[in-house]
Order: sequence, then C-alpha cells, then structure tokens
Amino acid sequence: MRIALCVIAIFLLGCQPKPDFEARVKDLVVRTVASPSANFSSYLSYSLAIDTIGTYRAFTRDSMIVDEYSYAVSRAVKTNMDKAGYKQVTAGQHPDLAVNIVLSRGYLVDQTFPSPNYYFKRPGNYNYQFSGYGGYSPYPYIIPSYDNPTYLIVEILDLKNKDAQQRVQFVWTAFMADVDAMLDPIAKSVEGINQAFVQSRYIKTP
Amino acid sequence: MKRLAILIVAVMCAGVAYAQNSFDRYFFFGSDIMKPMNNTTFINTFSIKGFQVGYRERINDHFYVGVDFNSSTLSEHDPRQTYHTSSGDLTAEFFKYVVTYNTTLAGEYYFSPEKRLNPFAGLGIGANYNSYSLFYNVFTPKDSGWGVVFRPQAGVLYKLGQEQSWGVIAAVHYDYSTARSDYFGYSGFTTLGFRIGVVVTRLFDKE
Repeated sequence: MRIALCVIAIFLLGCQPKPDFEARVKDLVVRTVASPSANFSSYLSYSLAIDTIGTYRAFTRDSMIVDEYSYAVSRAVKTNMDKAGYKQVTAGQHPDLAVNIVLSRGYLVDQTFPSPNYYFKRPGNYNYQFSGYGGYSPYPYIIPSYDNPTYLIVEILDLKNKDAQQRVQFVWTAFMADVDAMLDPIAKSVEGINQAFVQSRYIKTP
Repeated sequence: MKRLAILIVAVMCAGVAYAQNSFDRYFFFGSDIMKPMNNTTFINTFSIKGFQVGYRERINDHFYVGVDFNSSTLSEHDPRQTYHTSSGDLTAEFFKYVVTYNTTLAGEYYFSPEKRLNPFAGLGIGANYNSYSLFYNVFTPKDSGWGVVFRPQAGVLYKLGQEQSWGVIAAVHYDYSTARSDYFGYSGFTTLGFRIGVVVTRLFDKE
C-alpha cells in the first residue's frame, strides 16, 4: 500500500502545470494607468530628455543610461508624443508636460497589475504619487529584491496644474516588463512603448 | 497512456485480496473529463487531463460504499490582447491553470445488480484541494485552498468476461466544493465531470 501511495504522490507532483518560459516571455507586459482627472487635450507641449534615460538599481547606485537602448526608447517615446500632437520644447520654455523614462532593476515596482477581467481581483492598485518636478523621485511603493523583474517605466507629469506647494502630479504611467527576459530588449521595448500609446488613445491634443 | 499505466501499477501494488464474487468489492480507474461550471471567465474549457480511482464494497445487493480519488487539470490560454479596466489598461498573454484534487467517501445504489448492465446513482462527500495559477510573462500569481466537496453522480456499470469479473464503468458527476480563492474570483468550485474507466474485481485472487 505504501508503494501505491508513493506512486500516486509522484504522479500528482508531476501534474503541476507550467507553460514554457519562452512561450510566455515573447513580449513585454504593458500596463498603462492614467489619472482620472487628467485632461490630455488641455496640454500642448512637453519636455523629454532625448538619448538619456534614468535607471533605478536595487543594491547599487542609481544612474543614467546613455547607450543604444536609451537612444531607441527615448526616440520611440518622442515619436509617439509628436504623433499625439504635442510639441517638444526645452524645460526652460515652460512645457505643459514632462516625460520621464526610467529603467528599474531589482525593485518590486508594481506587483498589482489591474484585473484583465473582474475575476482577477487583487487588492491595491497603483496610486498616483506626488513628486517634485525635475528629478527621478524615489517611488514610495518599491521593495528591493534580486528576484524582481526589470521594468521600463514611462511617466508623464502635469507641469501645468501644480498644487499650492508647487508639486506636480503623474497623469500617465506605463509599466513594461520584463525587459531583461526579452531576447531583443531594444526592439521589444520600442514595441512596448508603441503599444502603451496605442492602448492610451486619450493622449492627444485637441 | 503513461498515467494509466502508473495507476494500474498503483492498484496492483495494493495487494488486496478479493473475493470470488465479482460484486463483493471492486476497484475502478479511468479517465475523468471535467468542465468548470462557475467563474467561467477565468477558465471555461473542458479538461481531458484527469483521472479517477475508487474502491467499492458491497453492503447489500443494491448498496455499495467506498472511497474515490480524482484529479484534473483545467487550463486555458488567452492570446496576447489588451484589457481595458477601470483601473488601467493591460496588454498581456495569459496562461491559466486550476488543478483540483478530490477524495470522497461514496455511497451508491445499484438498480439491477443481477444484470450485466447495472445503472446506479450515488452521492459522495469529502475533501477538495485546488491550486490556482496564472502565468503572464515572468509574473506567476498563485493561490490554493481546501474545501468540502459534495458529489452527486449517476452512471452505469457493464460487466464483462465469462465470469463477469471485470467491466467498464461510466458516470456523470457534479462536484460542488466550498474551496474558494478570492484572488482568482472563486467563491466556490463547481464542475461537471464525466468519467469512464475499467472495473477490476479479481486481480489478486488468492486460493
């Protein structure tokens, strides 16, 4: 009888299903969140650092990325912002919007993707955070871990409607993961950025 | 076939002595096809990856009691698409799984024990364990839960062989389990299943 139980136990353990890793990391997961109060047709201009993006790294110092990856993704964002009708200006020309691009490695940036259907109920969602304009402000909801995926984050800040303390609000954020799992991270990141704007058609000028 | 072979070995290893009367007691094993009946927005496909094994002992000519164990893997693949929700938009490809295990005590009433074709109806009650998992990119949220399962079932047993010492069995069963998963939206777990298998009564006769 013990042999029979062992055979059945081995059989059951072998039943735990799992898709091939390659099959599920063909493309980036693209999540976008917009502030309900944002009126994207009220903005006309934006500022964006071209060819340079920020990076957060758990356990090492944060830095900037200036390479072919930052070149490709920053220009992909610029293309989509231009296509939406916004005009790129310098920070000194008082843009309505600021666009930040960040590659985050080793942080649990946002584990609570929104429910694709009502069946998928996980409490908690991305909360809109206030931050000081102009910097890559730390995210209060991140947890460092060696196991966390690499996120490409594009965020748009509203510089036109500052609060009384001169703080600005994120009006749109795109999360794309896992960049490091991609066979061609540059091409897939550009695809991800394009998809983020496709699924956010409300980002457009009047 | 590999799973069936393993099950046959498991039954043979049990080393239980059987009476010569083909209906005093019997084992059965076979395939269990299953379809979820609730929370079908998560998974709504037939599962052919299931099996059931059981044992029955006669109480009288019409009534048998025993124990069943069954397991099934339900799965569904959602190709990459964009989901628009009130909390944001998401583009992803999903691989969804529920693996269910049930162990039940069963009682069955056989309507025609003297005939080769013997219809029956019965009820089972026992424990259910489910593991739920979702895979998208590198993200793998999982959950699991225990519950009490109730299983009404009806079917037929058809005896075969010169001495009618073996046969085939087919039955429809409806399983309701209290196992829940708030994460995946299961307030309970209900399935409709169809099982077909082989009945053996005298594999291990000892003179």
